Amino acid sequence: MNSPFFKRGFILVLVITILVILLFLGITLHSFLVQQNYNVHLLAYSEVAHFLAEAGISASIRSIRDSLEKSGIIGGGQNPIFEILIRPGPLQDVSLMSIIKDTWNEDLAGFSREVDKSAAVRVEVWLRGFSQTETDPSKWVDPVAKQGWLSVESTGEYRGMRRTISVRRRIWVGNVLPPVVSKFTLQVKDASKGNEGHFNIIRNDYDGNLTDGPRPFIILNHATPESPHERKSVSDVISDESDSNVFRRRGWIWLGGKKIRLNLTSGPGAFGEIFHFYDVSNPNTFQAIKFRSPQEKLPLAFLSPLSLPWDNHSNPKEVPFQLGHLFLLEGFHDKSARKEQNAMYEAKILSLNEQNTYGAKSSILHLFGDARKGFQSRTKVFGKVQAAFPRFSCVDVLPLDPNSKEMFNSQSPRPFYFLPSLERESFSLSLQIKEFLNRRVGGPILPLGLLFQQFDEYKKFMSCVLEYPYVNSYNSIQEIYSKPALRQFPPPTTILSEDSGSQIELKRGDVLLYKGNVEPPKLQEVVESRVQQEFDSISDFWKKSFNESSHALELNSIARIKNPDKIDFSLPPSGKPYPLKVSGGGMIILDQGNLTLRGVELLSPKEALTVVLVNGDKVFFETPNMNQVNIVAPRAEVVYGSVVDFWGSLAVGSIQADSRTQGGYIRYREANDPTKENYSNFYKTFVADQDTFWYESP
Amino acid sequence: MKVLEKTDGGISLVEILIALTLLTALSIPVVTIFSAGTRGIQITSEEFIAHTAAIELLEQLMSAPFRFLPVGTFTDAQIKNGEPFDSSTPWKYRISENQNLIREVKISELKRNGKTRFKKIEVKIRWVPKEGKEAIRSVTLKSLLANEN
Repeated sequence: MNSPFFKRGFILVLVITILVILLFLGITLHSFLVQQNYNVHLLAYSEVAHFLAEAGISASIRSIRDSLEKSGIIGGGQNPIFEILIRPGPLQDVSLMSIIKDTWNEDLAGFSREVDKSAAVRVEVWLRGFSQTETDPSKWVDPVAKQGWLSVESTGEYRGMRRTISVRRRIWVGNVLPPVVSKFTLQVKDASKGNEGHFNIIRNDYDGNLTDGPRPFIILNHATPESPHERKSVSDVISDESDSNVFRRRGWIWLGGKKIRLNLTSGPGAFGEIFHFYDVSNPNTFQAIKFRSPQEKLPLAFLSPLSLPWDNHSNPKEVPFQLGHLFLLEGFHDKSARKEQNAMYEAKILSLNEQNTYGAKSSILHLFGDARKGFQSRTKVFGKVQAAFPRFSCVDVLPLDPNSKEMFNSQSPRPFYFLPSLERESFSLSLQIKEFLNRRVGGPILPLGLLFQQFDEYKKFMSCVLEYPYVNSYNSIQEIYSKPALRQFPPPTTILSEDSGSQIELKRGDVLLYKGNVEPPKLQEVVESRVQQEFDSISDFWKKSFNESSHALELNSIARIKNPDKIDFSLPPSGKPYPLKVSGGGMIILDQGNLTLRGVELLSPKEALTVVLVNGDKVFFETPNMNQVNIVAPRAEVVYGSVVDFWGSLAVGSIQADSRTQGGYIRYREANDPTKENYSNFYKTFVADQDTFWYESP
Repeated sequence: MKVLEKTDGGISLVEILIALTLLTALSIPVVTIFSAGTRGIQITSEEFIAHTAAIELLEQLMSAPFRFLPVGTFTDAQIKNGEPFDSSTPWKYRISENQNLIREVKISELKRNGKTRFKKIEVKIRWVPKEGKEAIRSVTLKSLLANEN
């Protein structure tokens, strides 16, 4: 009984404790219920705020879309919103209320006041949630490419509760030019198709005029006076040409696969390529240059005058001659006034072995333009691409004896002592080097052994067909412009040398756009990531994109056509007039099927059209109309039913080369160049047709 | 008798009387609070039901096409599950039955420049009055339905 519970005063304490606890529980219950009751009201008020927000969207969405269309974001075009979207770098959430004409919020405020003094509705338009989509230089970097949302946000307010509803549409910002490829005039994945002389099928004469059969593709890697847009005058082109780094501003060329040899076409004529070595700016006064080998590189016999018997047998004597070595560079010519075939092998200066190896036909691919003033178009060439051309070498004979000199100089044509092309087994020290027309002109009787002791030494100086990396011509053309006192071949300065293209680098300003192989391994992935709208069939595409009243393509987006039936995609489609006029460019990614080109005309210099064939195996040029389009078709072969007239960037698997080849022009569009600022002309913003989802935030 | 001399043991009668007095006095506010709590639970429950009924009705009216939303005042007798909003519209009510609530809807047009831009919807829910008493408690929710055309 000593427990404190039974002490005096205990019951009082117990009662007070119970009452305090009950009081506390009662107050808690009351507070809880008051709060619950309040919450029930809030729940209802929130619903009303939600309804008001819905009413705000419903009432204003049409005005908003009208306003957005007027501002140009829906429907494309240059406008302040477009300017925001194509700013390089990350895009933070930004309100468009200061840009678009707000005609709805004042009305909404008035109406909401009629519901309740506390009610309010406001609808705003934002660009939200943008992320950059092309940021990996091993794939492609485009600081402008992004995806995000056009968000119409309606906020309803009722008795202190606020609800916001967002109607969002996806926005894509992407360039319609193909990554990496747009820096190139021509990319051919497998150029040789297993035959290094695949393209050497042209029959031409000494002057570079065609005789019959196939004609060449002239590839112009810069803007010319003939360019449909972004023309350049002849004087500007010539001024550009003198810059040793002009290749940076031009379209490049990649001929992939195994080694390919392009026989340069002879002459300064219509299709002649002799401008690789000589100044042909005035074809009427064109003179081939006698390249003189530097004295210090010649064998000892050339260093000082030699006394040799002269060829005047009526008065035999030894006379002094100063000998040198000179050579002429020439192109391939199959036909001449005298000879129907193999004209370049006349006089047996070039060997039978070379005739068998190289033939006398020249290449249908003229990578550096043509001989017209302002149309030489040297650029960087990637791949195992060789240029072949004959070198006609001779001993330069200078008689030092007055009699001999007089006899010698009175001859016409001037005496030449060619060093013929020999095989090792035909080389003999006693072989006579004779005047090429076998004339007795007071020149020396010249045994080969007097000049060259070994075949290997002779080989360096004899006539032959030379093969150099094609891009070496870039350096020799620079020699033409820099006009040194003594022209040399190969030129002493190397600007460009052979490049397989395993590690190319593209930059715009400080931004590294791409670093990797000339054949971008993730090209398809990048292109597919840009898709803004999809079509199941080609007919669906034309229904949506062809404006029947203006008869023009109005694409203004990057579209994918699945085309499971593998129907050929024609530009323009059957039944529409040629050429297809393009008022709104874009990119078309065709999953299946081939491409037929009948003529494409861009109506504005700020438009471009690109067609990507994912699986197609044929690009067919059906008409001689100009096709202002970029084509990426890495599995396709270019085939033709007419002359080709192409303006853009062409990336294909292979090029047909046979008797049907009618040639034509492949012209680079300088505006395509991703390393230049005007690349920004070709961004397309696309707003999805459908609201993607409704988003509600407290 | 030594035990009786202890002054700190057991509970005295006086003590019990004081405790009972205190208990009685202080129980009055406690009981009052609990009683108010019980009433609060009931009110909250009723208001929750009324608000739910108001939202149910408002949602239906808001989801109707603008042209099918009749203008006017509609009493509880006209607001019946499965019946049309009124004779001019095929749109029908789908509402939960509740005998304890009286529904009332008022729909009016809000115009600008002669064009009806919105319909203002006012939903009022009242409780059925207890016998001999007037129904004074009610819940009112209002919103707007926009004319999208």
